[in-house]
Amino acid sequence: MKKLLIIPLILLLTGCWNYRELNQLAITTGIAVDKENENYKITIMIANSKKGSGSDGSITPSAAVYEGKGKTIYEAFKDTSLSVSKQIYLSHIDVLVLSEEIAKNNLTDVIDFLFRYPQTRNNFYLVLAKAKKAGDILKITTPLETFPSQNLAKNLEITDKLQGFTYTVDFTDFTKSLVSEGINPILPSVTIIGNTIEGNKDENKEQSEPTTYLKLDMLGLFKGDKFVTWASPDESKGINIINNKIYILGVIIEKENKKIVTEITEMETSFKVENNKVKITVDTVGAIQEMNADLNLYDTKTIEKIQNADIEKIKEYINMAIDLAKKNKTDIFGFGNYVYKNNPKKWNEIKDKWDDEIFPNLEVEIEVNLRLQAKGSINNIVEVKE
Amino acid sequence: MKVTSSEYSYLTSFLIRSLFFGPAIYSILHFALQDGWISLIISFILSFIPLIIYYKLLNHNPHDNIVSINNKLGTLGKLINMLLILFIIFHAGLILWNLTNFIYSQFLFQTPLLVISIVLAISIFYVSIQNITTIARTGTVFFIISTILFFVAAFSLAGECDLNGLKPVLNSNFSSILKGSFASLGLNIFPIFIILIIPKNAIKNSNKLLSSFFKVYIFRFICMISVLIICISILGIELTNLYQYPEYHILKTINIANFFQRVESILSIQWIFEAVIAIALCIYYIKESITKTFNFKNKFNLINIISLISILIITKYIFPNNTIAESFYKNIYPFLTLIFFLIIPFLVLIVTKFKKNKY
Repeated sequence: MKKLLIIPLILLLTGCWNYRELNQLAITTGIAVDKENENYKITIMIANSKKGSGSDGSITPSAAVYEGKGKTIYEAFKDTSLSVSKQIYLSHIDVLVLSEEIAKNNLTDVIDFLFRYPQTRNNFYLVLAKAKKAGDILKITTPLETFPSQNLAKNLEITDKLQGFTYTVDFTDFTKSLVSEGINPILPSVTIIGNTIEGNKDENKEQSEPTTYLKLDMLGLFKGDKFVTWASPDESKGINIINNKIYILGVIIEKENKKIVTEITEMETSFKVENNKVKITVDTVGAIQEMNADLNLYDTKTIEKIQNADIEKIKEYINMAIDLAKKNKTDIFGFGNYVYKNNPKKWNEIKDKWDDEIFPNLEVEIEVNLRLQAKGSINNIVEVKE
Repeated sequence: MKVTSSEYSYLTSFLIRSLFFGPAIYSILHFALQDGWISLIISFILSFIPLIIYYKLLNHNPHDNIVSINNKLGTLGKLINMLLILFIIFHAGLILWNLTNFIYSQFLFQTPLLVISIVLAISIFYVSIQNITTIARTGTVFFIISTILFFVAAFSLAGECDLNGLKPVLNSNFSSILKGSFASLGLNIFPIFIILIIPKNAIKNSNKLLSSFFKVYIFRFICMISVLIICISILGIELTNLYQYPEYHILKTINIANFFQRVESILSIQWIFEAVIAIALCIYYIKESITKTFNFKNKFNLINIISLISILIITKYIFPNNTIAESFYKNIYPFLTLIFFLIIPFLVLIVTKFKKNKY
């Protein structure tokens, strides 16, 4: 009996039954969703398409983009698969690009489909297509990465680490802020610089100066599942400061029409909400990164002045962000979430009027502590002899 | 054929965990929300009531397992044994349904449920036809693997936990927290009853049983509380409640240095191990119970085959959809386990004590 059992076990448990080889799958690395009339338009980027040969005769992998339309996301995917000879496989998505229209009206349809679909992994990045079709974003070729979707995902990661005005939002982060109490989501955006049609061509990636390329843009603010507005770069910096999402931030101040740049390398933000008043505390460390003004950096008073000016600038970023959020009545910072977590009874009383009445009238107190600890590799400004 | 006290404790831990991933987490969190971990602590405290009853039954007569104890009650005892056999077949069916549903919904969504259950059933059958010593040793190996996998998952996810996610603490009302505790008792604790099929004299070093049992028991509870805390602190209670198997989805977020990632399938194998051993134990119970109650000889492993076919039929037809399953696990099943795994054994204990004192 025991020996007989081994036969079905060998057949069934080794995974030989109903298997799918890699070359039978269309590994999708990017999805873009647009709305055309009443239909959803899905654009998918397939990574494991037939390899092409490079100019030196070498074999290079190439990406293929397919489109499909349908009244539902499901239908649009099925329509896409009509033109693909392999089974569409969604486990390796790097990025999901959403058009402005989808972000304004139909976001939950897209979210629901991807949430429900067992193959997706929920760690891909979400990005908004600013003033362009989402599908076009996936078509722009680039000399730096093989696949546009990979280029976009890596660009988001790198910019997140090196600049303060954008940050990566993955599917879990986004849906978490979508379903949590007292917080609204935000998403980074991307746009196309140059001619979209030229950017689709292979020649675009072979040029030393590509005529068309993707560029990360400002943060998009949501109220619930509806996109409401764009933030400017400075407002985006403020949003990221309050949300504690800053890795590196360049603070630019002006002294006698000359510019001084301080690079913030450590930043820790916390806030407290009590009696309709928010107290934001920012503890930060930075170093002078660029100096165009004629100042004596040996003098501690000069350092103090720069430090104070930086503090004022950081406060300005924060105030700009708060003003934008208040104006659009969307709590993207999670002040309401703070109230919910620390005083749930009060939250239950005020949650219905939080976004529209209480949040726009919150009193804000900002405290910034900056330690300007370095001046780069040199001690003073570069003085040129006359 | 004897099992050691450690092996006995490990087997118990599989019965505790067999319905934890999926039904218990779902039920606890739906009642108690982010206070689910408090529900688990309360259920740990309350669990000493059934544990004392089970311990008394185990010590009643070292030679007797629960079936023999029931048989001594005459016709009523035989009737109780029959009821328990039917209920344990049902319980095993529910464990297999949960495992099948997990595999179907997360991995093999294009494969028929029955095919998945049959593949699992073959492995379970292979385990179940072994004697209890072999099952116990297999359980020990599985316990070690499960523990290692649990620690790998817990340490990998520790950095992502934000304990702020557990706030607001005690936001749910006390009755909801208690409902969560009851769900945990019904789905995790009362099924420990099945281990009473192993009589005390079949345990090698039974004097060490209590200490060994409580070490494993406390460890398992800490693991279960950790799972809830990790899920809520990473996903937040809203997302945790939205996912069908949140404990599997948080495994998807593991990414250490862009190197250690996409490990959720390997780490989730612990749940398959737990379910396989728990169902094998259920079949062992059924086999022992039928042979002892009806003096039936288990030729060609006929009892195992029939039990497994019954379990498969239950798995196939019990729930038309998983919405009904969720409601059943949450609202009905804890009451059924309370009746069959606690009230009936408690009455048996009282009657046997009464009879013992009488003679």
